Amino acid sequence: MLNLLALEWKKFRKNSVVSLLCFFYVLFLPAGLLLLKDFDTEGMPIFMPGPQTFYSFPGVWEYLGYAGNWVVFFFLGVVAIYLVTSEINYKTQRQTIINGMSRSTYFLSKLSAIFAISIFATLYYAIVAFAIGVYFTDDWDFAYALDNNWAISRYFLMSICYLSFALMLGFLLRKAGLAIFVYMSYVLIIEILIRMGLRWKLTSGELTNHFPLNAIEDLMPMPFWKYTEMIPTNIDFEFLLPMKNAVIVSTLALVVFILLARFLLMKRDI
Amino acid sequence: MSVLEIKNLTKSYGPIRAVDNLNLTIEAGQIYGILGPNGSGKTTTLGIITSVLKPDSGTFEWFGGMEAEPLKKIGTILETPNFYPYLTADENLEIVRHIKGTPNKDFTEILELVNLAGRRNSKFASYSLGMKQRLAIAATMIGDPNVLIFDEPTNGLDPQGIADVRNTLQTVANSGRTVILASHILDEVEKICTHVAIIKNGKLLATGSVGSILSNDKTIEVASADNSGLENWLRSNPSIQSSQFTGFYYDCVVAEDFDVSKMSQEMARAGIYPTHLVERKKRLEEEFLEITSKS
Repeated sequence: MLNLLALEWKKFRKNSVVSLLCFFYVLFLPAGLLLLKDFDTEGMPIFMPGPQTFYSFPGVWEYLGYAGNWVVFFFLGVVAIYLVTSEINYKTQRQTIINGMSRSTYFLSKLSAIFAISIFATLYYAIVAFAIGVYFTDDWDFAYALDNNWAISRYFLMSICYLSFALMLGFLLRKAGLAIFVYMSYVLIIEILIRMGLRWKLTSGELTNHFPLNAIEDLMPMPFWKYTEMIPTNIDFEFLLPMKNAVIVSTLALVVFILLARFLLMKRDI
Repeated sequence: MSVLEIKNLTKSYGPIRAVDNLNLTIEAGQIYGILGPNGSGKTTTLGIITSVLKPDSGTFEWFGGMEAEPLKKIGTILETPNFYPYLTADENLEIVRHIKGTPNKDFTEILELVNLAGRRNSKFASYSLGMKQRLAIAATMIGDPNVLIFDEPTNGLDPQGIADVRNTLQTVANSGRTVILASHILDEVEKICTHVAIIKNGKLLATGSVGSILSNDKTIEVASADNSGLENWLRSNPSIQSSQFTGFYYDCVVAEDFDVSKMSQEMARAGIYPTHLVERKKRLEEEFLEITSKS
């Protein structure tokens, strides 16, 4: 595994697209949260949180996690697509097989790459969240700082799920532009439209919350959603999946994405 | 010992049968040319034996099935040179070395062989087509492979590039390795190969040593100031099996025991004086055209 990871490193360490996207992740993860520093709470319901909650323990884990939800999806998901489609474009995937690497080992090398990126993303999230929390929390101690409801594990699962979905689309569609378009469209538009359609047909909203990308998103949800419970509405279902359901559905989706990506690589001509 | 054995290999793309029940055996040490017009199935065959394409049916076996990872013992260029454009020659070769699992090595020797040592730190994207092709040949040498596969190695190159690649191929062919060379440039194959297989529409038409493929017939090149008279004379002469005007002279296929001095005397008696008269062995190109036109 480490040998395969070393190979991926040699391939992409000087790639400007990958470097730029990773730099954007590093930049925008804390920036996404710090932009809320001047968040105006005037006129908002009294139970809504003030900006201090975003930065101090334990809220920082959820708020930074939600910012990470977007930046992992936008930047690191595209990296995962690029890791596959650029090799198809340069025909280096084909050359790698010709040079003697089996297809299953090649797949394992890509899997190890997205695994490593997810670990990097999670570690960076943990360090940034901890650093911000320490800076903004008065009288913190380690037990309080690390009491984060498995946020770090959820963040890792969210990252690997997004990246495996992107990897699968890369193997399926083979063209970077098309794969990125479908990746963005599916998450931001198509799945939401399908869910809305089904909700209208089924009248039960909770079932549609179990769609894979929605479940992955709900691993690190928008923290404000939990306050909607305090607002009386006509909507008869929860906006968020229970965390246990989100973890189960996301894990199942992860397995399906990985198996499907492997199937596509093993069965097709390269 | 057979290096490669192909049995009943078939591959279709929709209604088009690219490889049709192909059987082929390549022995160690042979310089094996796979000949065929464009679209004959050469690249598809090579794609299957290098595991990038999946056959519909049939099997192939490298080294008698004795190697667990046979492709690591084979250096291959399939169609175009495929490298990471943002990496240098050294970095790209290091990736190939890593995949093949051979020990760390300085690439100076193989880069000198292909005359690229001076540009080893330039990015692949900045190379000319000839340089890219030469780097691909260098990459095939990593791990000291037993077999080398080249698919149309001079495609798209300028005359200097063709000459450079040809010289490199000649050096490689002389190294005692088994070489499989797919090409439609028959002059190239005739100069380098010991054995050939001729395929068309995915079917094997002929196979064997270059000597056995070439018939014993020979060719006479003849031209005269009176070409129409010459043409009539050639047609009426039963010893001339076939004749074709090339634009400068007539190419005539004759039997092995044909006496060209007698031909000259007979032409003079008929009042036709040759301005060009050359006897030569039949070329692979002529044999190839004859075999493929029959199928």
